[in-house]
Amino acid sequence: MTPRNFPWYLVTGLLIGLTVGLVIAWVVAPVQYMDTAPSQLDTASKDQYRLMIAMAYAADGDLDRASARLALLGDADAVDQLAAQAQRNDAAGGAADESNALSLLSSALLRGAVAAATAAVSSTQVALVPDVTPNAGQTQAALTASPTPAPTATPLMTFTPRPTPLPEPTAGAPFALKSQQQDCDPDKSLLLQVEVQDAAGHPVPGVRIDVAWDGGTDYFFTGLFPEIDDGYADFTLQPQVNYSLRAGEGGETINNISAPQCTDKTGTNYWGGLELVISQP
Amino acid sequence: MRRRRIVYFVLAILLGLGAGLFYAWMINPPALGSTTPDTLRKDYKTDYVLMVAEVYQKEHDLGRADSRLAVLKSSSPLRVVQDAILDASDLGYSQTDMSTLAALAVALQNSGGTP
Repeated sequence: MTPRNFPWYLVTGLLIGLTVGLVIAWVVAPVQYMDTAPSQLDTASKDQYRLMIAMAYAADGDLDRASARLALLGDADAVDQLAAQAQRNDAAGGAADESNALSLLSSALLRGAVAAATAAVSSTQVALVPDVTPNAGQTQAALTASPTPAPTATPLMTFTPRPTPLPEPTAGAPFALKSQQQDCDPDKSLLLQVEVQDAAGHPVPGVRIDVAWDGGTDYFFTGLFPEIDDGYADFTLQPQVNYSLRAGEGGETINNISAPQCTDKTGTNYWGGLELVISQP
Repeated sequence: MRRRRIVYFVLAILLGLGAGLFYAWMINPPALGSTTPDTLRKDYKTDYVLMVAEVYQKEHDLGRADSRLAVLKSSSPLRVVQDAILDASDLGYSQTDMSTLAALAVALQNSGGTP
C-alpha cells in the first residue's frame, strides 16, 4: 500500500470522533459523582464543612462530636488546618465569630491531645479522647450517561452523647494589663506579642483583642498559634504610631502602646517589639 | 466506491467517539476530591443540615442559615431541612437533634419559605 493509497480518511474520521468524544465527556457531560464523603470535597467546600463543624462546636460544646465530624474530612492535621483556616478567614475579612469558632475548636483539640498524652504517660486508665471511628464508606460514582449502580450499604454515622456546653472564653472578670516589656530581638521588630491568661495564669484561647489607633481599628484573636501558646496572639505595629488595646468584652483599655526603639551593638537604632501579658485579676 | 468510503468514514467517527467517551468517563474521569456538598451522601448531608440547625439555635440568624443551606443546591432551604428531618428519623437521630432540626424548619416556614 503506497502512502497515496493509505486510507487517511479513516484516520481523520477516528481523530474527529475521538476529539468530539473527549469534549463531550470532559466538558459537556462530565462524570457526576454521587453519594460522596466529606473527604472528597474540593478545598473550598472542605473549608465550608470545617467551618460548620467549628460553628456547631461553638454552639453545643460537644468536642467528641466535632472530632468525629473532623475525622470525616480526612485532614492530616486537623488542629493545624483549623488554625490556618482561622488565619485565612481573618485575613480575608471574614466574620469574627467564624474565626473565633475555628480558633476555639483548634485549641480544644490541642488541649484534648495534650491531656490524652499526659494521661498515657502517667499510665492512668482514663481515656480522655474517645475512640471515634469515622464513617468512611466507599463512594459510588455514577456516570450521568450510564445507569447508576445501586449504592453499597455502609455503616451510618453515630454520635456520642452531648456534654454540657463550653463556657464562654471571656467569662469572668475583665482582662487587664499584667505586665509589659520591650523585646529587642531583631526578628521580632515591630511585633506586638500578647499573652492572655485567666486568673489562674492559664492561657485563654479565642479572646478577641481590639486595637485602635489614630485613623484605624483592627482586631485579632488568641489561639491561632497553638504551636506557640493557646493564649498567644500577635499584631504588627507601625513605627511612631500610638495604639490602644482591649482584650475581651469589657476589658481594660490599655493606652500608649507603641513600638520601642532599640539599639544594636554598633549603636544603630531599630524598632523593637513589645510583649504584653493580659490577665484576669 | 465513494458511497462505501463515506460509510467507513462515518464508522470511523463513531469508533473515535466511543473511544473518547470510554477514555474520559471510565479510564480517566475527573479526580475525586473536586466534589461539592450537593453530592454528599444522604447521612452526611443530614449531618451538615444538623450543624446549620445547631448554629441557628444559638445565633438565630435565618439569613446565615439560609446561605449555609444554599451550598446543598436544593430548590428551597425549607425542603432541605424537611428532607433532613425525614432522613434523620430513618438514621435514628436523637430526640434532641430532631428538635433542633424541627426548630430550623419552623423558623424557615414562618419566614415564608416554601418547600
